[in-house]
Amino acid sequence: MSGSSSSGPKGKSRKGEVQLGSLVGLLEEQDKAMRVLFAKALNLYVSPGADETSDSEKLDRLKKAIEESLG
Amino acid sequence: MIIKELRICNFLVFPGEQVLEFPTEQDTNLIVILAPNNTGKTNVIRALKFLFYGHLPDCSDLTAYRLIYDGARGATRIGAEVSGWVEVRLELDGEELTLRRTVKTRRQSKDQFTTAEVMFTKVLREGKLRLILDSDGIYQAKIRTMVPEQLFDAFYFKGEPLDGKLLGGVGAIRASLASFLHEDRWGEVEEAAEAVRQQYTRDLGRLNARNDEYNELLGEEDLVRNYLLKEQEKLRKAKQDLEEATAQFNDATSRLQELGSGSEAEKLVAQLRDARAKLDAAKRARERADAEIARLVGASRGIPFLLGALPSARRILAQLQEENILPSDVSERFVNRVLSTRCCICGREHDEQTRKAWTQYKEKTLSVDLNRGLSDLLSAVQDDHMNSYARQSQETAKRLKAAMEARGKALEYVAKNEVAGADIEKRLQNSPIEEIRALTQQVRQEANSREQLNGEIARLEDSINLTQKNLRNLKEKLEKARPPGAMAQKEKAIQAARMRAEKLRLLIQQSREVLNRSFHELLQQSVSEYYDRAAYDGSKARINRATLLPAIEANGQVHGNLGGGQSQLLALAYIVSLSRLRKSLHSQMKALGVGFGKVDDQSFFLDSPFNHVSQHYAHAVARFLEGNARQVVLLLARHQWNLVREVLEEARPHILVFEPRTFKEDIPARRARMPCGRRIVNVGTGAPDAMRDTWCLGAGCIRAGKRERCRGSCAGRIRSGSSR
Repeated sequence: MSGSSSSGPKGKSRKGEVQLGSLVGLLEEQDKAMRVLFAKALNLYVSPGADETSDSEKLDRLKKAIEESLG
Repeated sequence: MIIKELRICNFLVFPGEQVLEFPTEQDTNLIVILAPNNTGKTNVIRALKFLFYGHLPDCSDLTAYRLIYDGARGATRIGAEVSGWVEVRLELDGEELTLRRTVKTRRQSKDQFTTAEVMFTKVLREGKLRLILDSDGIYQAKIRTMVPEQLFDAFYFKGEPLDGKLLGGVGAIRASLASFLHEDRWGEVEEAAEAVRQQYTRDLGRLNARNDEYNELLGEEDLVRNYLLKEQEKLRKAKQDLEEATAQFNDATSRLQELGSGSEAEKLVAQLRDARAKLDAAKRARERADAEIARLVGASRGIPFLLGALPSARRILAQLQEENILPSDVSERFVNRVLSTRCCICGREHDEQTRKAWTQYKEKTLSVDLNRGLSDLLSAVQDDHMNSYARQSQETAKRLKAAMEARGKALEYVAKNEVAGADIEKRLQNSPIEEIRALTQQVRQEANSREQLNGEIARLEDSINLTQKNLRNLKEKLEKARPPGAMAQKEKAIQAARMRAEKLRLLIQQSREVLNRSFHELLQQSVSEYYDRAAYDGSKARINRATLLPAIEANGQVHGNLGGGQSQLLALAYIVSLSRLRKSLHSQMKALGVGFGKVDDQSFFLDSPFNHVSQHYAHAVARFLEGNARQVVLLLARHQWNLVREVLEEARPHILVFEPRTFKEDIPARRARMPCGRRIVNVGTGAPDAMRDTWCLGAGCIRAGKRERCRGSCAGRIRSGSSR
């Protein structure tokens, strides 16, 4: 889609990227360890290939990530 | 995901192997495929759908063999295998990938085939063709991620107007949106964080198995927390509803302010009421005049029309009287005459007895009953008599004239008030009174709703404060009940992890809320940007906050669907905005270290999108298609092309024309023969009669910057219809 900022046909300017500023703001309020944990958790469940990992394994990995985030 | 080439072999209506190549140069995103009806446009979309998901809505496992081209199945000998397939060359994740879905069956008897086998393979053409089965479902998952099945009809819609597809099944679409925006997966993360927290709770329970007080407090804490979560959920919902009600209230209020008080419209309403009352009165007056005229004509017994005959009648009657032919012997005057003479009618002289008899006869009979009709007639024909026909006629004529005048006036009033009423109605139609009324009612309802929600929120906040206080007390008690020594350290570590899991759950929950809110705002903004600008009737796009589904607001009313083309435009604006939003979400999450996977530019295949669309909206949709997606393939019949040609030609689209029965090996030769060869097409079905005339669009000339007729031998028209 035209989400990119590249020029469209005939050099017509396309729509700029939609900014999800409020989500970024919310995450910036968190400490670094929490931000890392958040990314790890989402990567476990949302990223492509997440379905290839079993639920119990994902829970174990999440638990481990939580413990790592505590230092 | 950009489609570069589509190959279809013995599938649906396509015989043999046929290729449809899509130009993917960067100078235009538009590809128009022109073909008459019933030549396979819709089947191109069906073939794509089968390729993507392995099934079609009108086809079960048992009947899947029917997807193979009839001719190929018919030519298969009993016991032999036959197959059909669809193959697509894509640009996906920045790489080129060729995928094929094959349907294969075996002929058992003249009319029977085995249950079809459907295979999804990656295609490699490295010298030799190799098909690699997608056994782990990686490519299938890629396709489903890129285009969730429920949204397929939005991206690749066929036949019916898009609105029916997209704005129809709310539940299915909402579920698809959840998947499209990964909302469902965020929910999974939240649940997983909660599951981990519960594991830690169980760990704490096991660690303190012998500490009854601790375990009791732990259980109590869990109960209170669960109650707190439910109350918080209710509070969130109530706040969301309040926000929605406030937004609606504000929208309605500001629209009301724009429209003014409506006093002008109220005056018009009063005037219309007055004009309608006058019109009714005039109609009643005319009806009364009609009735009076009818009554007068009936009562006249036709006498006015017979006045000319009266002199003759008078003469005849007088003569008859003179000659005593008329039964004048029974008239009073006759008796008077008899009595005034010396002799009776018998010729003898009157005596006392005869006179008495005549007198008695006159007084008793003649004067009262006898011959009254004749007497009346004689009176009536005398002009000077007070009951004469002449006088009666004059009176009737006078009354008729008055009634006719009244009728004429009434008719004038009717006409005058009808014109006045129509004029006021027209002015009223242009005035916003109905919208003002609807908005006023809405403002009232939203105000009530806000009041109730505020009450509910206050109650929930009190309850939550109290519950949180209880929870804090329980936590303090738990801390005091903590085991001593080394176990305390362990307990502390588990508690910290448990708290971290809880914090993660909350963060995911908040992020989902923020995302959902952002989606709504951004989707509303993006769809409005596309739709509102093109809607010449002043209608506006509205995205439902809860369902994220689009609707059209016109005259203060929200419509799920509007004819004439608004819905098509809205649906396109919506799906384009969604794609744009998802792409942004992916790139921004990537910046935060979260890999949602790469999202490519999306392709759109639109089959006959201008059906039942007014010219204005057809143009609006056509303008919208240019530049708002990297690949838009339009499949059009000639009449639809004519509707949007003016707009699309400015976008310099690639124009392909379906040719019937054009097989892969024939394409180079056919292209060479065609005056505008590079645009002439390559795929078609076996319907030569329907395809007898296709047309050359001279797009090469358009590309060169000048619109003129093709200079080739086709003279703007190509005769086609080769057959095999």
